[in-house]
Amino acid sequence: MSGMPLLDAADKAAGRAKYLTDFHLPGMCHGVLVRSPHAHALLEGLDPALALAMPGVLAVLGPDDCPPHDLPGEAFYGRNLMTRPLLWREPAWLGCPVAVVLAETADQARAAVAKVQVRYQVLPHVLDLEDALAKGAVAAHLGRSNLALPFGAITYESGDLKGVFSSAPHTIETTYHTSTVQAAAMEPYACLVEPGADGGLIVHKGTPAPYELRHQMAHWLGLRPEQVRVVVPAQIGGGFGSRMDDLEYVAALACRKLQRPVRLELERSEGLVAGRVRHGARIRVRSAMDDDGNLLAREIEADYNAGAHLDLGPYVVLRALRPLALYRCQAVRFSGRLVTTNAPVASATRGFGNPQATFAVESHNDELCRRFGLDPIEWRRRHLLRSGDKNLSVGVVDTQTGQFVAKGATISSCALDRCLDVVQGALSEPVGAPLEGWIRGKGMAVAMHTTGKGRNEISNAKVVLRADGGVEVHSGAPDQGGTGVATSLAMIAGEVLGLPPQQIRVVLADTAAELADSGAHASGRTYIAGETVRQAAEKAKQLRADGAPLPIDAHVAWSPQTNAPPFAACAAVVDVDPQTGQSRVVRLLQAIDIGRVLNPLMAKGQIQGAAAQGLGFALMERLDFTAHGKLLTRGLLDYGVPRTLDLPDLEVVFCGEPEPSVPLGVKGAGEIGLMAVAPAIANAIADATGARVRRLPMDGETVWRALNS
Amino acid sequence: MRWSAEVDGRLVECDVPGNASLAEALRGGAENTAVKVACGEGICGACSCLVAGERVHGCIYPAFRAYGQVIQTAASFADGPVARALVEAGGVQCGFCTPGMVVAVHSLSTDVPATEAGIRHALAGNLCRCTGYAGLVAGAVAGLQRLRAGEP
Repeated sequence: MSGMPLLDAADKAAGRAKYLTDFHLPGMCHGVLVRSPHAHALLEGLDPALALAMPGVLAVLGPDDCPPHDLPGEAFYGRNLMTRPLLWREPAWLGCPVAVVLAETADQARAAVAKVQVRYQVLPHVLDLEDALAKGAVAAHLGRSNLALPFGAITYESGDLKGVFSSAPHTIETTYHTSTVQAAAMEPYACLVEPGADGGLIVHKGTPAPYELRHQMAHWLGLRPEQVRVVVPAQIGGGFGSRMDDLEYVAALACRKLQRPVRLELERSEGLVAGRVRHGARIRVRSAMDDDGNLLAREIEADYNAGAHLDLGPYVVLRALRPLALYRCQAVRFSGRLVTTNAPVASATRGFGNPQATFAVESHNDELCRRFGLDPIEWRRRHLLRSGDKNLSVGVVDTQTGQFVAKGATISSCALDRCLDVVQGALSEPVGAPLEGWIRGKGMAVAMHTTGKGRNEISNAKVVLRADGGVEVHSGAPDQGGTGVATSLAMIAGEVLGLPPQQIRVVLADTAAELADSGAHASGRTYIAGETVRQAAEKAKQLRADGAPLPIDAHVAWSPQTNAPPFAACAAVVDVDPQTGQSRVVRLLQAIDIGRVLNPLMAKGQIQGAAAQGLGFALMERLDFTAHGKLLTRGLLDYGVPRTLDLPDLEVVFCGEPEPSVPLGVKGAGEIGLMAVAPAIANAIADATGARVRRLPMDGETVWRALNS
Repeated sequence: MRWSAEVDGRLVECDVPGNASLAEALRGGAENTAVKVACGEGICGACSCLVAGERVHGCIYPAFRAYGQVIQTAASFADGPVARALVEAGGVQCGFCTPGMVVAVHSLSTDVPATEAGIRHALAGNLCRCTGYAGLVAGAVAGLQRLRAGEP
């Protein structure tokens, strides 16, 4: 294993590295949100008088002070579905913010929150996706359908689906459920907004998309984009997509009112319901097969629990297409719906809609292989995509009809065959004996993800050769908390310029630099920002070779042409205690195709970290509510994040060849390690016990019930 | 209340609320960034520090009980053998749990074996959401071995 640790790793281990929650500015005051104790209610009155009389309290802002967030985004059916209030008159989930108290200290603000007199008219609520879809269901928002997309579903169909299904000798249909889970990044959710030059603002926030945030914030406040400066802290205590939580808008409003720096920092119990969560889902998979077990046609109906508003939901549910696209057959159909409920708001979370659907499809594949007595690895070899095949999961949705239009993208590289060899080898090794009374099983699954969003991607980079001999890399891309963007960019520039990465100064994600970047989404930054930096370094090197005087300032803007999917195959060996239903993963190996592996040490860490989140998703994690809508999992004590003893050593084997669509040769590493873990574990549990668990998390009770039903 | 202690070899004096936790006193009063608060309920280990050599969770340990004591945070062990081993093994990603991990390894008594199984049991109280613990456990095993071998 070669590669290098993150450039800032020693500072982090020493406690010298400064995170947003370590920032203090002169004159800084603090905001704490007043949150609805009800899952659904109407505000009848909000009296801040008692709170305003508390020591240190500066102001209380409520819905009347706060315009909704009508971001200039994509309009669906002529309406921007992502528009939402920031302080809600009709709070639609437990913990929904209705007001903010501002005070000199966070303790004073927190004490005063209890004194804000809010009168609620409590409304009926609905948390569960299937309850929300039932006839006569409670409306999650007054006067609105729970089916949130005006066209009902995002759909895609190709081939003669009806014809193939009606003539096929075998049809298999199964339905799977996954739970709402939280990324639960270690650093509390926070932001800091200070007054800036020219009547503007400086926003410090661990956002994955600083330029998009600047654009939206300026639009919302009626400012020019240059008046809003977004600075992403160099260190963020984990992101996983979940930091797009609207906190900065409330802080900006407060900063504008008080003309002082304002910090909002959530406690963990708030963060579990206020940070964005992964959609719970119900996914039906139906396959048409011939007598030899060949897949002829397949359809997927995915219903995702959006929570209290859509946020990025329309894009998330679309990613349920990926496991459908992964297998070759004559005809496919996809239907994806978003269901509004009074659960916490679901949005981007590592994997972006793919882990739910991959769990469903890869479990289903195992079920049909068992039905036909086929080897699950050989069956997959027959049907999996190869290099040069079309990837139907890349495309756009017609926002009038909901019809998905595939762009005809081609798979540029795919090493799944070699990944399957590695998994086959691992599963053929002797596994030893389980503890007395436990039973042991083996399972596998595969997955495809993406490198970047597949459209509207851009990155800008500058490589500066200074007069004093120093070298700087400037990029608009942010690091999302230890994903290693800064280190990767230093390695890439260093490779071109013949310098050790440690000698290169990397400056990221400050919109004052005017280096637009579409953001750290979809495992895309090493490929997109990395390739941009590579080109800028080549340009600087060429200018130098041509005799240009120092300083040299080489600027490049670049957009990718494809989404270069990474692939994974996962092997799991799992022990089950039939008395309790408890499972233990004793071996977890992933064979990964991320193209060329730029930094093996940290790429392995990305796969292992994703695998741990995949294991949590599979066996432990669930945001749990009482029937009254109260949160049961109120902190990390109750919410099951995997610990050292819950995980085996996580094995990673890299199998890819350099990706041909960029000279850099890399593909996205950040998410692919999560996808195949849950279905591989489910398939191993089925192998051990003969019982199929179609619901996540597969905790002791769930497995016990499956064994005893 | 007026609070003082010896923190990472330095005498610290500051004013803290009477009900302040040790983490609040260290982070707020002593401006120590090596103590992180992630859960606030003593369950994740990010705020681990040593009070008179004993490991405590700073987020739920009352500041007044540490009054006048010798306190060590990860800053006391900066760039030492444990921290270096965690870095080299790729055990540091976002880094928010890392200082607590460093303190936890330094707090281990001699009966904890410097093996994968020993470390997995010993660090079960320290949460990490980034690494899947593989790099952390490998780094902690190597670091503990180096610490016991007397490496500076």
